[in-house]
Amino acid sequence: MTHFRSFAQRVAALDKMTSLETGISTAIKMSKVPRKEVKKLLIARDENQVRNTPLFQFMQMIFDEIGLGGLDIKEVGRFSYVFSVRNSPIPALIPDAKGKTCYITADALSAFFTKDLGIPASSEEIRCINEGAETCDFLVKLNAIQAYQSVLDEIDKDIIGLKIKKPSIGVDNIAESLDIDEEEVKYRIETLQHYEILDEEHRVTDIGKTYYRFRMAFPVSEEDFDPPWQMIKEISAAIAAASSFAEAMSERVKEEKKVLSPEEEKNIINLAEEAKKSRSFAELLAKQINKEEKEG
Amino acid sequence: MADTELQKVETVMFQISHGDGVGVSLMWKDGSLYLSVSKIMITDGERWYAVPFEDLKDVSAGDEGYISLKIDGAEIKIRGESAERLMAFRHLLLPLIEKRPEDEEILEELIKMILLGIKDKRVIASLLKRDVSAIEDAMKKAEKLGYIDGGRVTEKGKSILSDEEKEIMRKAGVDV
Repeated sequence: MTHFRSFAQRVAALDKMTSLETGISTAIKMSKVPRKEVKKLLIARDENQVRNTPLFQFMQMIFDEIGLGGLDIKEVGRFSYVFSVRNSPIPALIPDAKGKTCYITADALSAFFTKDLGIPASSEEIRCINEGAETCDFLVKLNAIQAYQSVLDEIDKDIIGLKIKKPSIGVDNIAESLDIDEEEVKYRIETLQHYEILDEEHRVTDIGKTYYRFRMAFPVSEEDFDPPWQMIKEISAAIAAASSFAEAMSERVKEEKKVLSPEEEKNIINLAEEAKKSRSFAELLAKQINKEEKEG
Repeated sequence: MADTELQKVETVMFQISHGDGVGVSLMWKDGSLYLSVSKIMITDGERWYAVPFEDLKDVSAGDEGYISLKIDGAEIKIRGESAERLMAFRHLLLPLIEKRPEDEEILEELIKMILLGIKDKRVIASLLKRDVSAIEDAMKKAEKLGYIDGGRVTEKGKSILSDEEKEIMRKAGVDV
């Protein structure tokens, strides 16, 4: 890519993306989710269970309010999700891109999981309408240790600790040590197997040992508060107001155009060209620093 | 629109630094960021700097609210009055940059796993949701590139991690 197909179209795209970006940052500031609701999403094992969680329904509403398109869930893995977005406005904004276009949506998903759910997450677009796909799809991978911290409680962690210290310890002895009944121990062991913390023979896996070793470095907030969907009207109003403000600011900036004079054009420093001449670029910077130090 | 005609993106502060780690860098300067048909232009009111789109290698976002334009041998950090405007600018440019090969991403993930003390290729494959053979290939490549030596991550290997990833590693008690 060396030139925009249409410069005016590109400036309009920048303005639209500024509006979306402002909506995203406003929503993220107001949407912190309590751990108990995060846990409901994390323990959902298939797409329908995910769709039934209040947290996912809230995500759908927020996507709609911001104008990012229709969010759905396509695949559920162990601490990973493939989300799909119908009618995303992004590909149409960047028609001259050859591949995937929706970095803004990928970053929004990653920021939501990291900042509002408290679980660091990476997000990547894996299919895009711009490449001929039916929907834009995003693979979101959660930090496994932090996700374990959110789904496992202190009793689960005690069971892992007992199993590491004494691998042959039985259900009855675990129940006695932790003062809980054997049925509960069995249920918890099944859950730990699902998360690959324990293997089929109830031994702690390498993943389990790694989690247990590093768990203290990833604290989780136990703070209880109302989930953000109880103030959805306020969030919607804030998104609308912030987006309108961003549009007004874009209009103001749009007035600021500049035409370079032939003299200015002649003296443009092409940073890529200068950087290729490594030593001279360092000298150029050093000269400027010296000049600034003398002036300042 | 002629290439000398510019559209202002944002009032900014910027810093240009040499990309070889020597540490030569300018102080933050006040200026303006512009877009032309084929370049990103930035000015401090006195000098004009240009980054042609074709030379742009990456546009990353820093934790402290700046974006960073990366070209071979140099980096330009930019802070704006509106962080959202700059992030929108970043998201507009990213689809137009040639993508990094996927094997570089595997190498980065592999380095992080080894730093965390996870060396079993089957465990790494499971955690990264990759085939064991892909991890074996990545290990060979990491050794060849000098990122790992004798099963340990070298300084060169650590250098490919981002500042954000290094911070997470430090929180986990890893020396990076």
